[in-house]
Amino acid sequence: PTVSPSGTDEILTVATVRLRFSDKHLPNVSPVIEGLQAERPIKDAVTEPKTDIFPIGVEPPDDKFLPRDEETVIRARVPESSIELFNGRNNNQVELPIRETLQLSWFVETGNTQSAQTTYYRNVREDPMYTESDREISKIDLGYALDNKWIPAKSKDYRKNTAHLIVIVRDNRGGVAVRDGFVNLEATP
Amino acid sequence: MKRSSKPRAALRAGSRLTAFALLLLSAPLASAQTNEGLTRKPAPEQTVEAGKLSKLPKQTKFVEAEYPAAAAEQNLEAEVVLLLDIDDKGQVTGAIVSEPSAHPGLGFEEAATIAAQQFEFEPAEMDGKPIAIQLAYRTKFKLAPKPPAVAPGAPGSAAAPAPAPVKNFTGTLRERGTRLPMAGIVVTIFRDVDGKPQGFEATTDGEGQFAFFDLAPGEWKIVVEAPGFYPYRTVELVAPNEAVNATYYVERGSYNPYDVTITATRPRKEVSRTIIDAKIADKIPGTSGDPLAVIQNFAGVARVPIAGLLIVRGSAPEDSRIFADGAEIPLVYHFGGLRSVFPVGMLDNIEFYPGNFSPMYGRATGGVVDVQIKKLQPPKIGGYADVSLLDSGVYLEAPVGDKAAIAIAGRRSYLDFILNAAVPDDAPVSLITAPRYYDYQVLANYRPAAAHDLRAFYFGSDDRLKLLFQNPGDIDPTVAINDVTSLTKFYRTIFTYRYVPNDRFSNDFRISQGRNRFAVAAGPLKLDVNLYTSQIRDNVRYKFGEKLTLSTGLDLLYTKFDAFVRLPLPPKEGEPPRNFDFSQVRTSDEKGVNEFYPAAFAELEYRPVPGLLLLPGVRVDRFSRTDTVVAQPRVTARWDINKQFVLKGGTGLFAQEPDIQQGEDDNEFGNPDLGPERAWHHSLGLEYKPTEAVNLDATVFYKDMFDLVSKTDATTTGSNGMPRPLVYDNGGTGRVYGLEFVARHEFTNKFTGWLAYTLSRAERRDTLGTKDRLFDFDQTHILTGVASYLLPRNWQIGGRYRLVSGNPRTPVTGGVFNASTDRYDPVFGEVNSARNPLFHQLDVRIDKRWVYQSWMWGIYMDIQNVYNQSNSEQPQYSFNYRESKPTQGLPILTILGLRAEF
Repeated sequence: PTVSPSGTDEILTVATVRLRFSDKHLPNVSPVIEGLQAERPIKDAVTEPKTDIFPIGVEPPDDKFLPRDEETVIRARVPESSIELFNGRNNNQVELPIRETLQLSWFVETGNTQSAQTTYYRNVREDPMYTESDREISKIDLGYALDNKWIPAKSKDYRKNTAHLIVIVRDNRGGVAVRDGFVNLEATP
Repeated sequence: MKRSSKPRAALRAGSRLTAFALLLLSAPLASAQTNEGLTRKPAPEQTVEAGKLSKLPKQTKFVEAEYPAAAAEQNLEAEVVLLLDIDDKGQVTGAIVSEPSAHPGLGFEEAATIAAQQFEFEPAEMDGKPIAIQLAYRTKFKLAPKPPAVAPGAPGSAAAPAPAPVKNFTGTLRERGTRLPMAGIVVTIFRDVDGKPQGFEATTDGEGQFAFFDLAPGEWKIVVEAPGFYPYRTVELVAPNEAVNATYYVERGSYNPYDVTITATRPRKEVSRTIIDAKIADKIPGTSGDPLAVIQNFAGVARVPIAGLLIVRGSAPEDSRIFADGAEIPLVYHFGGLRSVFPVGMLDNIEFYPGNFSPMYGRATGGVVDVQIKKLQPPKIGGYADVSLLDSGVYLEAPVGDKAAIAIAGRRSYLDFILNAAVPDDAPVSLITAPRYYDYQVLANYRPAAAHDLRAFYFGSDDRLKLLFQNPGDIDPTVAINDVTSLTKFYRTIFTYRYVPNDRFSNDFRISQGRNRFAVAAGPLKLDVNLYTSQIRDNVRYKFGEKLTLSTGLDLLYTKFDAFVRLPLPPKEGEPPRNFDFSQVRTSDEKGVNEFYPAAFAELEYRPVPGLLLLPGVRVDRFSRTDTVVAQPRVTARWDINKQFVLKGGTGLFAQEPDIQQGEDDNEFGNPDLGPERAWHHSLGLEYKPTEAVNLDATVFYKDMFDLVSKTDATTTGSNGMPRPLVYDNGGTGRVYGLEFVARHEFTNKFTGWLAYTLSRAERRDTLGTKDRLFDFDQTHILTGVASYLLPRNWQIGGRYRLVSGNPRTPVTGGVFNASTDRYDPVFGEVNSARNPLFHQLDVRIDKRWVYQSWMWGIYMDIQNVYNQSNSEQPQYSFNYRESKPTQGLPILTILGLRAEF
């Protein structure tokens, strides 16, 4: 606050205003989660390793169970079309069409996940420190961000037979989508 | 066994007059010392040990003493010890008999004295200055071997003249492993003739050479028993009309660094100074074979979770400065302490000043480390190759003529190869460039005359790291980052010219030039500083008399830098570790910023009465960024109460500039109107030396810090006329007080070690704070014990034990869900109101060396955290901060290294 010559208080506030709808900016579309999945190796596979993939929805399949105190891969099915191209700035603040960033937050009713959040970020560095091969490596596959691992707690720590999973996906332009589902848990350990 | 003898006529050619120094006594600075039973009434002047000389006298002219005729006729041999006065020009100005021969009256003493008065030497030097010394010189009168007896009645025996003696067995003694010649060593040969022993002796000269004359053909046994060496025995076959030439390599009893070290350290003037020889530091347990890592074991130095930070007497890392031969350098460690940037071969010793340092050092309010580079005087071409799990390096040194020498060294890590091979493809982290470092050094010395010493030292270092994370969310969910890169490199060229025309005047001139490059990038965040620096230091020292000496000089530092910063405000000391606020990213881009930091300093050494040394001094710094001139008066005093007790104390003002970023002349980052940070250092101590090998030192200290840069919420008007946050001001204060105790055992009886204990408290008060809080690295108790013992057959074992209070931490009292980031944010309690558990750790090191004829190699095993103590630093919290568990610190770790020397 400053005092003007007339004796009245004057309060100045400075804030950065972001113009979301510039002519050159493309409108944002929220990302989409088409479904949630769990993936388990089939223990009695004879010839080659096989996996059992089943959906995680509002009603969990009666014959599918997640083991307690063991890792199970969980997956959010997000189409690549959710990663929109828009006019933004790269790391060196150069304006050019770039891909959106996706951030997935994973919430589980019991136990822990390997990562609390996973992110997709298509990074193509223009720094001279990076070689062409570095840039190639740095193009991370979307799949890394869509997979996580869930270790439900033992029955002595969590007695319920089902557990709730919630996944929130946000892009870096304000778009958001939420999906949840339930899984059956094995009785022991 | 009898000695060979020879008629007088052949003596001048055949006699071996062997002379060698028994001890060195500096005079007039020195009084007599005793050695090997020699005594002399002490002179009143100051005594200096021979080992403290920076250069031993070297004989340049030898005149053979005439063998007394009467003694030769009686086949008498003798030894005479003389005390030679050698002036600072190397001339013999006096010679007196210290030990007469066993046959007085035959002329041995007179002959030795007459010859010695014609000797000439290169003068001895102390701190690079030629000085007069007194030298004990032993002259041995030995008769050359008699020619073999000729059988009576043999043809021509009556009329033929005596044949000239023939050297038919010559040899050289060299130290096994180092190939250095062994001078003054007696070589004995013997055999049985008709059941009776027959033998001869010869003594090696300065080149390690010996000779026997007219030995009868046959098999001879050779024995060499040199003090400090294993006995050497062999057999030689002398054939008729053939000469034998042999080289024998004799193994030392122990190849430890301590008995070959000659260092010229400056006399003690400071209240607190720790000096450790680099070769001793190289063997300290827990340092992974890195000599500079020994600093963390000194009193007053806090333990840090990440090696490389230097926390001295409660001061922040940026408050201390590191110098190489007096020139400021940005870092001494690769990658936060993995390895220092200097190999041990380049180092002479490490000097550490925790406070109250001389006015010649400045721009620091904490402590000072001065890495002393080796004074190159290699006797031969030599070096070593060093291989460890982290890196490999080589060091080579060679004399260039009589007046110059050169050394080169280099090292490269291979962590990148190992890690890239070891990290599985499906790991969440890709190491595009794993931690990779290298360093290089070239050192050259040239001494055209005793008064002139020129040195050039070029060295540099390069560290790089590039990481790629498959899940950027593990770094931070709020910003798109999946890579981290860092680059730290620097080089320096230092030219030094030391001129010491006499013992009253000396001038040290040093000019250095170099570049620092520091870059860190993580996604859009970036810090890139490219700095060129030039520094000139000149230090003049003039001795007005026995009571008064003046040291004065200039310290001119010029820098030019480009700095690009795109970061949120970095956390200040005292702020709990929290996620960066990426919404507050600020950008600054400065190019071609010139800064000039001139400083002048002066210090008097005043000795009003014997034993009392007063050192009043002042340093005046001009700080460029803050455009401030600060005069810093300092005074220290030492009083040698007697030979065992020294009382010492000091007080002084110390100042430094804020960090570049804090004093940023920019609307976003810092406050361009910041002033220098200042601190008063006060200390008082007592040294006690109960024996020659043991030193006890207790020092109490108090440090009053003010004008510290601290965050503020005040606002100011920016250059564009708009209000903006002031960000920082000079409103912070602090104080540190405590006691340091050091008990040190010098290397004697195969043992060396020290015990260092620090009791201290370090507090700060921030601009926005209402009361004092603990400093981030406040450690109430720091106890470090280091011991090293030499075992037979070149084994060495050492241990280090540390017991340290845990660092303060700010507790997390809960968590709040942040709906914008879908994460919990921690809620912190009072700053630094909790403390990590007590830290304790035992490290053990074992060294073994194998010695071969012309080279040797050794292996060391450094086992850190022997009993695998967990030593938790910060607790690990659950996602919602409701639960926590201790983290595991560094587990038991074994590091192996190899070194081959030649």
